[in-house]
Amino acid sequence: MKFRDVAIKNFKHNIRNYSAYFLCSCFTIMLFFMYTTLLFNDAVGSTESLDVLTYVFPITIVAIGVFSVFFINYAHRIFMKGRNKEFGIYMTLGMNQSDLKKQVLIESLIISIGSLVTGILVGLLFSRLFQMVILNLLDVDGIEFELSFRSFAYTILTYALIFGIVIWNTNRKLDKVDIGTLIQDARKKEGREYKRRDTVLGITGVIGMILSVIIVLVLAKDDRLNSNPLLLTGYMIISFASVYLVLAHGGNALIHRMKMSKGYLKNLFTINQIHYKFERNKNIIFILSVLSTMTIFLVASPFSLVNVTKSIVLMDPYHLEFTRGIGINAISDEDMEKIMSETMVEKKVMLPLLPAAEIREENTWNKPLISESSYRELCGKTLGLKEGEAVQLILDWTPGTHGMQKGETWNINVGNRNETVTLLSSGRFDWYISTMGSDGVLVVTDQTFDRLLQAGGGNAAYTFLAFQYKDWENSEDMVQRLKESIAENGTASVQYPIEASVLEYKDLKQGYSVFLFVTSVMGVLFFFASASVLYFRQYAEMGETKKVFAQLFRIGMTKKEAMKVITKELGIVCYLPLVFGSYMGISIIYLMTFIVGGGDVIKEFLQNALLMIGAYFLLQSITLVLTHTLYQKQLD
Amino acid sequence: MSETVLEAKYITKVYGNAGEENATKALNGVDVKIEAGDFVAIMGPSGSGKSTLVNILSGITKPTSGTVTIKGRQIETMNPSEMALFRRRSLGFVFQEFNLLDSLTMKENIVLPMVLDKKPAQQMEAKAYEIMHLFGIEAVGHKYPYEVSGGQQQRAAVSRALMNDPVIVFADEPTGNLDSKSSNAVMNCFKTMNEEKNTTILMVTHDVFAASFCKEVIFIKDGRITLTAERKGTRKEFFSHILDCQAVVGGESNEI
Repeated sequence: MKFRDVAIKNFKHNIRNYSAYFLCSCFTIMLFFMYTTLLFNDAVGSTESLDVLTYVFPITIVAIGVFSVFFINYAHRIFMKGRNKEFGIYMTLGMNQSDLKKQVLIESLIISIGSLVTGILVGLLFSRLFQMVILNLLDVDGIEFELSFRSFAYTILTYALIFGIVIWNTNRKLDKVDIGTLIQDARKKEGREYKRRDTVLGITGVIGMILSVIIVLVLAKDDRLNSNPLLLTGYMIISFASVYLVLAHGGNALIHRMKMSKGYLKNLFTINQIHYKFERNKNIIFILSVLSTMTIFLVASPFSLVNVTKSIVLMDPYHLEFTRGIGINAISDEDMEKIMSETMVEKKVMLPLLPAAEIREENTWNKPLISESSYRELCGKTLGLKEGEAVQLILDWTPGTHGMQKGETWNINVGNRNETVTLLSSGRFDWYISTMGSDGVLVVTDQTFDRLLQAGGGNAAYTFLAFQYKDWENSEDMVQRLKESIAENGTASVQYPIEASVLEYKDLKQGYSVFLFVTSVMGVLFFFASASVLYFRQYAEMGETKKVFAQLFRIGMTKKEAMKVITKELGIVCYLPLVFGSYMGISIIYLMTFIVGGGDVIKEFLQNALLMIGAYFLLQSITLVLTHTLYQKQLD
Repeated sequence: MSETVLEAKYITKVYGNAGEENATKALNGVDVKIEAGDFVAIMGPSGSGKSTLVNILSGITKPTSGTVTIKGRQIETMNPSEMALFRRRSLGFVFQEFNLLDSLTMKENIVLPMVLDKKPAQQMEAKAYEIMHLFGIEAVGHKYPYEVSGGQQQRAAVSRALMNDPVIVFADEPTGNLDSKSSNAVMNCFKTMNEEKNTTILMVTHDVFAASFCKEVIFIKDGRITLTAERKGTRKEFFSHILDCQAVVGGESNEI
């Protein structure tokens, strides 16, 4: 008999242990690969309405990376712990430490490579199936399943790195072990004794979590800061790190407090079970918190979006807007009235607009100008501008200040007339307008506007038209006829499009459906990961649990009492991550809503997010009941 | 005069940081000398340091101070690779929990030391058969540890300890998990090993019955050797003598 034969026999005997680690690694790789097929799908990347995903992807990739590292480490830890006694026996019989490390390395490599190949193959199969199902369900056009070399490369490189870290870490631990520790280690509790730094670090974690909320509140509303991917990534890392500190150290401090409390003996077994498996439980709860965060964010966002689409469209109080000028959207008032005769017009606004004033300081911009009175007529608000002051109002959703900051002095040039203005503020217009031919508009005093208008001459001014209808949802025909009429005379303009609420509503719904598809796929993947982690935990720990309870049954614990203990532990593992996940998910939703300029509908977004969280708690309760039933059957 | 197999001088073991309030001195200047063919038991109350002593003498843990020499080699100065090789070829171990691998049959567990040493299969088979026959477990060689009794498992562990003809066998509470019948069987194995093969055995036990099989019993209390008892008459007489010594070790010497 050779040692190889011993190793093979051991493998067969411990197949459950090996397969648990293998399956866990495969599953993680499969998820990652499915995610990258979406990420590197050119059709998804090139769809304009999915620009917002450039902010979503860095957030999700951090989450998946964190999940992968922790989950694989968790599985590997269980895998190795189950074999400590075996290693101890080998070492007692004289096996060299380097031989032992070599054996562990060979086994780890076989499992790593095997799970990488299997994970990618399974991911390939499920990716296609999964995306096809969701595409059909959502009735989305224009997206096809696509496989990119980058998906394979990213997956292989990422997991080669993760496995490399895991193997290196194991090697390092094996360097330090001695026989006595190995043989005892299988029985030693994982939870370490309380140290004062646990309280300090736990409190630091709580402060970190509060700080993260403050960061979100500040970051969200500042267009200069919320568009910075580095800041977003940094915020995510701080948030996750704070949650980890609270769990790892705050958790240990809390267990210590509970052990000192009067009620300790009543809950002796539960508290000690949690402490005994603390390292594992802590990692599982953290992994599940990360997954819950992403599920809530990725599913609540499109869900809210669909529900608030009409509200978003109606943020613009006007149902038809366009700019008319020489050679631009030329249509006479009479023709317009004829086309709109069957549509009940409730309000009509016609405002002079200087289309492209040259605005200079170090840089030169061409932005339209309107007067303060025009702004008041359009929006019903007063800006209170004094002579020489101006306000920039950003007309689209893209974050940032679009080149002009508060307090700057700018020279405006129209014709030969030069006016100097100081920018009082740079903020967002009350709603998005894409029909003024620019991403922002400058509002100046009536006097400044009149002087520039005169300097520009009779042809300088365009007219901005805006209409409110009683039944805008049925105005699509009228809008199309208007567009056709303008197109016929060749004055339709790309820079000054005609915008109608009815068309926007239709486009949004279609556009969101693609966004809905992408985020739903990701959200479901994360939810699926979350449920699988719980299942895996039960699978991996069942043997140990049965042993413990067999001992307890012998000293008089009833099955009912045993199930109570298991339920308490399961409850903590099921619900605590949802609490952390909700905290983080809501924060990210809040941030993302402002990034995409949805600040006005934040209330609806958050309400929908809370609804979704409620549904998640319900689903998790079902998972708890199922896992509980599984435990009950196993303990029979 | 017999050859000295093991010599330990001034062994001290402190757990925790020496000088700190919560430091525990498990062993305090213990000297041990074992000669070839000796069958020695170390006895003492719980917490006396006996398991710590045998772990140090066998190289499983290192002493805080002191030296351990086995067959002329100082073990605490060996590097891990040298120690592993030395353990494989010169030492045998028997534990209270048997420490057999459930994935291997009884015979496969027994030949494991030779497998690690890459010995030829024929040699392994022959040696395994010889030892299993000596201890009466050849009939269960094909079974798995969880399919046989505790006594049979421990006899397999003893067989494993002898496979590489060790210089000395260390046994830590070998009868701790066994009933009286199995204990008797295992102790007879040790006796056979010692008498027929001249194997040197150092055993830690709190079981007076097991200790009565030995030629000498060292009593340890609070980390120091307090008494030594040598067997002069029958095992029954030695059993009574050990009980008397235990009474002395358990109280003050002037009480007897």
